[in-house]
Amino acid sequence: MFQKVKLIPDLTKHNTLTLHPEQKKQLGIDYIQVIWMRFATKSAQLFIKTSTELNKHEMSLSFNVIKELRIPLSPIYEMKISEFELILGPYIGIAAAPTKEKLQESVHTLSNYLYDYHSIGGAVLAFSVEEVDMDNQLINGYIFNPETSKWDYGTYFYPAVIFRRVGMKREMRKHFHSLLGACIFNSYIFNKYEMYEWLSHFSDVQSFLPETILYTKLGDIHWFLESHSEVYIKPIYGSQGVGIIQVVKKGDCILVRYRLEGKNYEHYYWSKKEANLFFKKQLRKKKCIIQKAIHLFKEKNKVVDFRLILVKNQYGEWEDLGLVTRKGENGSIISNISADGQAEIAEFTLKDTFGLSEVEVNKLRTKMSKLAITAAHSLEKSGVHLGNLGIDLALDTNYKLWILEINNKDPNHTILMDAQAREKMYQAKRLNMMYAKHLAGFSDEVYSL
Amino acid sequence: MRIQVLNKLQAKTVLVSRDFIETFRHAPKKILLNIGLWRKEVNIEVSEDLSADIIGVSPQLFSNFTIPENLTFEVRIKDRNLIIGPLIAFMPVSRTESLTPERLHKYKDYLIHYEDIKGLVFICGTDGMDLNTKTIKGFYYDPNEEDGLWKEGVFPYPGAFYRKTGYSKRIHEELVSVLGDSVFNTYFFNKWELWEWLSPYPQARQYLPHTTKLVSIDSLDNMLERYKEVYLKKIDSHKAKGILKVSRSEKGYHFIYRLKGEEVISDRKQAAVFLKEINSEHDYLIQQALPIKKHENRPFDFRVILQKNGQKKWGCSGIIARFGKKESIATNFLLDGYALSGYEALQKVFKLNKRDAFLIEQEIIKACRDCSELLNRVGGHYGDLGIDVIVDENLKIWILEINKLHDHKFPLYALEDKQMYYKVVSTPLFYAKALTGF
Repeated sequence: MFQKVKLIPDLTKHNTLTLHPEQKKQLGIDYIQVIWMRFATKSAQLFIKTSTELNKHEMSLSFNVIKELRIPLSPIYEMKISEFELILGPYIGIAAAPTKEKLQESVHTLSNYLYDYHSIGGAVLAFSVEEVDMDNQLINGYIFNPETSKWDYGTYFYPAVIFRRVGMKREMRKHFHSLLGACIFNSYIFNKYEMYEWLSHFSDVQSFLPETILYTKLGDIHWFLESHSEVYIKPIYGSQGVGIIQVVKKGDCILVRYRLEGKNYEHYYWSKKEANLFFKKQLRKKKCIIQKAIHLFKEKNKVVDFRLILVKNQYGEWEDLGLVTRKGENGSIISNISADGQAEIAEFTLKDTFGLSEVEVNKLRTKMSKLAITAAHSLEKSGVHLGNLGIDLALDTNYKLWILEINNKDPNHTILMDAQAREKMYQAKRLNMMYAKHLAGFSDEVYSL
Repeated sequence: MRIQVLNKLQAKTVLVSRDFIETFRHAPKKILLNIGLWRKEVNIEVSEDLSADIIGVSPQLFSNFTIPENLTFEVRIKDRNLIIGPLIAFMPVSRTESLTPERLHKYKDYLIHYEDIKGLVFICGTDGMDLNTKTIKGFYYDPNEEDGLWKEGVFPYPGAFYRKTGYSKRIHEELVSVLGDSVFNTYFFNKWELWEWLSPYPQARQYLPHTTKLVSIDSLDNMLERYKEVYLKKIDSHKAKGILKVSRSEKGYHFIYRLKGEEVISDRKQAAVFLKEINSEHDYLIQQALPIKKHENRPFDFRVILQKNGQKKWGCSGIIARFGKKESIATNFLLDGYALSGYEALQKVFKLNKRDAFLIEQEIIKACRDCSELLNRVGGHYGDLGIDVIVDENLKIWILEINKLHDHKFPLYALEDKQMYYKVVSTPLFYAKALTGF
């Protein structure tokens, strides 16, 4: 743990940092008279003074520096020495909304990332993409105040790390990347086809992916149906099962099933031509993939699949926070719980529904965890910086394991709540912040003994 | 990769495939072959028709020990070192003789994830060590047999050593001198050492009840001035037996035994004699009594299982809350008590909502991790600890004891949680594997 300190503005001196002599000693800067202090992207050169009148958890910093670096005073900071700099942090940004208005409505909900503020510490800035002033490198946003647990609006310089939860134009991503280095996650939102394409280069993951092609023309559907008599057409960016069409070839007949506004539909077409009229209408302008259908394990006509929550932790390593079973509605083609399905912790399902023994459950569960982590590593080897994933897994009727989808567009871990595992959702959000802290250079494993 | 003895090979020779030799940056002629801590310089020959997953060795090479041919090993190459592994020793008993087939069968759960560990994992007793030949007699795990079978053999010193029994100083010194920090569970500190080692550091001190050695009645008076009640505990015992609660009133000193009831000694001199008597049989320490929260009039505490994992990081494998017998001062739940998961217990006993229970649980884990990490820095090498934690009525966290030989079956008979049990028994071997460098 680093030393935790509260900043007190010093109105009497300029460019000076005053700390308790014991604190100076613990930082290992006994002889330092002058030092650069860094606060994320900004720094200032300071004279170091000591005073026994201060308490060990305070330090006083000249007001002109606080103003110049725009340092918020409510957070509890940690300090560390790196080379010739004294680093004050962590300073973490959450890109949480596209617009000022949307952020205003939702900023209070971000407090659930900071329930364990005591472990995270530092300044946390929630901001909207709209309020980034790239010319002056300033952000209007909300700083979390740990005393009141409220968010205070103000104007600040850039944070050291950005946890990106919303879309951001290429230009802005480039801008942040050149200033903050690799301290933005997620750096890129990949689509379903990119995921398939990238992962197919890794032999230890590839065999777990259902064969997929990109939809470019109507002929692709029929060509793919020749070799796989049952396929799914999915929107390339969609999530939560929206817009999925199941296509089954039965002799000359083509059966399509889909779900629209909460209802399930089924049509038979007796010729390609007839079917094409349907596809043309449904797939107009949409970017889609065509995926071989996996015969998923079903319980009483309900599709069963799994969501694995995978987040990076305070050491920068992937951690499996749990596997949730999703059971679909009767006869529905999707298992998504947002479509009236049910959720439960998968260890129960594997035992009760799949009839596995405790040993088998443990082995399969470990295998799933390992596969998810290997897939995450492989995606990162493909060049993207990730930190927060929801991985959809399934077992087919032969109990073979499949990766159905990997969601990196800020997956919503509330599914853990549906499965009565609220504490795991708290943990996911806590670790999102702990990973951000790790990226800011404040790793949890360092002790100042 | 598998090892195969090839009779046609000359002594001190290994044979590898063309594909394999190309994994070296420069095709070597002589290499250092490493298995566990055993190493030898050997000639390397290339065969065009040998399978890429086989390393052929001459019959003479491993004549002093057993390297089974049907095990799958991992291989690392470092400069001109060829390192085959992992080799892991697990020492749960002192006498090899006690490792009967029935007993060995009980350890099969430790290897539930052998597929991910691979290599040679063997169980041994302290008397299986041969310090002269630097080999260890024991039983290795053969995954090819249905259900896993243990087979006898003599093995080179391993790359990591997981100890779970007491052993002599001589063996300890030998192990540490050859394996260095790849032995874990190195030293079984007692209650007093725990305090002595950790209390100088504020991060740990905040979680430890104040402890002093019982030297004379002065030390008792000293503690009773600070705390209303204190405990007298035997330094070396882990059992609740022999614990005395002491307080002071106008009547004198009250000594409360767990079973035998209360004894009041009004005269200070007499109390001093009493203390001298008990202290002469065993060394005692005096410990601040904590404001223990009771539930349904049962004492309760937490057992936190903290283990190092395959990333060499501390992880919490489980937290179990134990509720003891009504009116008792011990939390031995087997005698008319029960157990709950830690998270459940926090909600139930302290009437916490899920969020606050989660936060307290995180704080418990952090306290245990900080203290365990500190132990590794000041006193030994630990990777598998059972920590007794109390959350008092003010929600303050206390670490009472850190057990080096904690019972791995605890999740089974306390919660019937097999998944937790499998995690507890398999994690130390993942850590051992990481220690070997594989």
